[in-house]
Amino acid sequence: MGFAVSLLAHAIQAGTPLLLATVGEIYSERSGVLNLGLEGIMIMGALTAFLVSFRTGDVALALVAAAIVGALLSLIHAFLSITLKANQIVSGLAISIFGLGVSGFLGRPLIGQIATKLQSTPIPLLQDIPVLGPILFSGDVLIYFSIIVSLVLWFVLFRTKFGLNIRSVGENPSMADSLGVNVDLTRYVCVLVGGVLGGLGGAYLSIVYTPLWIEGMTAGRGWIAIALTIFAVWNPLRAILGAYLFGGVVALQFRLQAIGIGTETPQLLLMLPYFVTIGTLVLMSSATLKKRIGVPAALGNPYVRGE
Amino acid sequence: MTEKKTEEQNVSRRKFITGTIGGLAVGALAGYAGGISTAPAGITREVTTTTTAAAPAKRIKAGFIYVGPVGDFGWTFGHDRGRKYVVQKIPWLDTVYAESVAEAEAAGPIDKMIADGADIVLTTSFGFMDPTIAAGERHPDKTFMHCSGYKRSKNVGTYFAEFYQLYYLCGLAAGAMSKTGKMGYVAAYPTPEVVRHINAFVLGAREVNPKIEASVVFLFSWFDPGKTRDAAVSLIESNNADVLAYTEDSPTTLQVAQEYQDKGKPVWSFSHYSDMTKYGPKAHLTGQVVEWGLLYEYILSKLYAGTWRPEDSWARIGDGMGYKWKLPEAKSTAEAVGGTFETLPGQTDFYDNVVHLAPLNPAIPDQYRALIVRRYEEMKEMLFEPFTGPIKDQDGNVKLQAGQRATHDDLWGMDWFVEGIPTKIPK
Amino acid sequence: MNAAVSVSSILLGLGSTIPLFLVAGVDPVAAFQQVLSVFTTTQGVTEAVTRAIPIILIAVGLCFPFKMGFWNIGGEGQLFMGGFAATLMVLMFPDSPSIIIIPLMILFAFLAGGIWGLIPAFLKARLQVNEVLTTLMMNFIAILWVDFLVYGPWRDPQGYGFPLTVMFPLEARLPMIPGIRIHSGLLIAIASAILVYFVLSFTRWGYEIKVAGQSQSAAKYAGMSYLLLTLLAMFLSGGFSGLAGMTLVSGIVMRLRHGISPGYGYTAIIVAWLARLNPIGALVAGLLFGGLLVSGDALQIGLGLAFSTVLVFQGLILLFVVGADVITQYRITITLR
Repeated sequence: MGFAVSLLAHAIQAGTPLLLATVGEIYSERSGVLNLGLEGIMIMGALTAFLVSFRTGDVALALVAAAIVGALLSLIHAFLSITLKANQIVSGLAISIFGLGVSGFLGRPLIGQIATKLQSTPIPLLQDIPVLGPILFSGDVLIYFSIIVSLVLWFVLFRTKFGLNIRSVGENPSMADSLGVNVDLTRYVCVLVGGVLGGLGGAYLSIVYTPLWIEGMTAGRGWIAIALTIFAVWNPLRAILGAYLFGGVVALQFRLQAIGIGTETPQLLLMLPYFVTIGTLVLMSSATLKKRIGVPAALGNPYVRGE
Repeated sequence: MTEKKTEEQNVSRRKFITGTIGGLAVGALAGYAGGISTAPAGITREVTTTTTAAAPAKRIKAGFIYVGPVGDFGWTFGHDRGRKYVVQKIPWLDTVYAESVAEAEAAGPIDKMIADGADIVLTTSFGFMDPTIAAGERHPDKTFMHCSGYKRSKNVGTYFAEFYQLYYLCGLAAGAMSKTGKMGYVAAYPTPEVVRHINAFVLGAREVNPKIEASVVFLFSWFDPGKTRDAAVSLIESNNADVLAYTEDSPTTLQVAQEYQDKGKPVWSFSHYSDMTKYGPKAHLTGQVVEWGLLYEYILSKLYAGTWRPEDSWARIGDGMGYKWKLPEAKSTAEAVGGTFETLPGQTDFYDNVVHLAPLNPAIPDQYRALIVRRYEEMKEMLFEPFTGPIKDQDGNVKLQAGQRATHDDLWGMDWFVEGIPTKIPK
Repeated sequence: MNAAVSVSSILLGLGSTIPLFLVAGVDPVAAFQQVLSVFTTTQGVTEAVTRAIPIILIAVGLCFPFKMGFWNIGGEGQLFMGGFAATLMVLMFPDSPSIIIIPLMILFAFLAGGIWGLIPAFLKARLQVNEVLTTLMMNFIAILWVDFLVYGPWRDPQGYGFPLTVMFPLEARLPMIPGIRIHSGLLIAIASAILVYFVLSFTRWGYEIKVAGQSQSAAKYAGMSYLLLTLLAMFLSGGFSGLAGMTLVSGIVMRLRHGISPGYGYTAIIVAWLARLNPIGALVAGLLFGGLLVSGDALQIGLGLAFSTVLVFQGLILLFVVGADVITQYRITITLR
């Protein structure tokens, strides 16, 4: 039991940066814009948070700064993809390259420095609930924020008019346009949401999870988040499941190694998260077909009025 | 509609490619032309040069090929610190370096450095072994040094800083401080280098506590703070490990240990490559620190003096010690291993400091501090070798007989775990 | 008009890097001279071409699925599987003469990569499992598979326990093209580009793939099996990526080891796009991109710039090219299915 509780708590911690980035990307893609710049956005978020925390010691300011920088980077992508109607895939890839480069460039003086980290704030009373307490209520504010934001964004996406607008823009922008929805504005907002959350996801890494700055410290999490977006079938609730599942399986394979299982062929064990992801998707696919949930039809297509 | 698009695409495709080539050409030409116009208009030579006895002083240009970014605060950071050390210390030296060079792409940067006038290129990752040898063949009049490899040729030497002795000393500290009798090791890859680190660590811990055990987790990455954290937490939570050692490029393991200390649970860890005390002030016991600069100084000085040979400069505690430290042969029980080091004029205890211990935590009880220091001094004099038999592997086979010391090849090809490691070594 | 826009976009991109160089403390003119040296020195061109070979091969193969709107992000993993298969041939037939072993390696590398590509194609065609996810995940799996082999059963017993196979015998190494220091993988790349161009432009399959890419229903109406086309396109694409792996293990690395590719599979996606999914264009764009990558070395070594600065340089150029592409392309539509 202790093993499971500890593993789940660990999974939530490991999954939080993924969750933030994934939910943000869900919004972007729901409106029809694929943002492959997530890796660059996350690492810039990590750098910014660390830089501000190091300079000012103010963690809240660091988080806000990371969110703003994420938004700015995603704004470039939005401008290229929405206004200029450029190819979204390459624009996103360019942003990733750019973000990785700029973060390394600006981060040079920060190597080996210590910044103020975000402390964990367990919720009084709730943290003492057996099982659920240590898992859900003993973390830091970003963990709580990520869960709340996911729930709120789910609600907005599926239960409000704005959410409906987003979805219609992503499925059939010309119809949405004819019904009076401002396609471009909606897309801009969604991409910016993606940038804000991506920046915060990166910030989590550098001032909470492994509080330091090292070049390239996101180690591909942006790409994992993009994969998780698909896994989550573009639904923020499923994203919670996906992020924690992925984080959990990564943690699990280390736990298994630690207790001596599978260490003779650890590479096979390391493949586990990827197999699980594919396997779950395959299992879900038949359900998907039935419910006709799928890719937003207009994902990746620039919208041109009169098309 | 679709046909029109295709046609447009076809037309625009050609234009784009033409435009790209044209654009790059124009842009480049513009740069070049600009360069010409701003270059000095001819070099005015002073005809009357005061030729004194000395010809213009010889300078050496050294190129460094790094496998990662200098900003990794780990392996590459340490090498670059070494480079900066020699740049600042040696007046006749110029350096260049290339970061994040993929192992399959090393030939290009090496050749570029040679083309730009490098006399020696040092490649700092095992994966550069074959490209370095090949480069040696392409440029037979230049010198190459490869770090952590085993292939040499007439103009390629090897060098390495060895940590297993320091890991033994860390093990002593671990054995002294562990209350649960369980340790954890976060390992990058199951290469012989890492395996000897792990083994030495456990041997050291067992000198203090013969019942202590260490579980090993492999990351399959040299550098990944996130995964390292996951692995470290797993070892603490699942195995009740209260001392964590590691071979990985970031201070994360130490940070995790500190995190637990802050929560009131004593977990200990170490520095790796550089002094990382500030990442875990309470949790930091000691650690293995490397000063590549001293080794670079040695190598480059030999090149400058014309005495460079394609040897293996394998810096351990005790190798290449100035004679005032080393006991006479008759009193030493050391077996000659590794390369040979000459003493350069004016040099004393050169190698003492290439690899050394990070500061010891005052929390270590005095008797164990004394033990650690004593073993360290003994290793300097080559009186003590951690891999001295009787040593059995984790399956009970005898690997080293009583009194037998591991040879260079034993150490370099180590692919078995010692007793006290329940984790089965990946085969 | 269009050409002028393209040219000015490149110039703008290069121009945007000027402040970057100034901030980094480097003379922009010297920087551009370094970049130019890549294209004007033998050493630079040789290196650029060599580096471009695997990228070209993968990009050429990507033309097939990308034209169909099938997003194959799995070039990297397919490359690794090709390297694995090529090595398997060497290990199984260590004493074969070149005339036998090289074609065997080519064939099996192609097959292995092709099969690796078939799996996500099948999952998509039959079960609607999104291919971006599956191809991406399978990259990690392929890389770990190669790791497993080189750490375990294929580890060189003379290799002091390091994760690599034995070195390939001379017969199993791609010969250098006489006169220049580039291995014959270049010829394979050029041949592949021409072959794919031929298939796309003059064969029925190529035609069907293009039609299916424009409209799935049109394809069905014309009697083409969308399933078969998807499988074929991915088999071919995976195959060429596998070939890229073969050229790496047999032309550059001369053995199988951890980390034979630093992300060529992903770079090739950019190149395929730059080439507008035209295989001959992929040849040209691949060479140019190889030059861009090598210019990064030149900037680092010639001017002491940090690698991250080089990344920013490359990213900026790419961003401006993306932006300008819009104006020249006007209405490029990529459909994600």
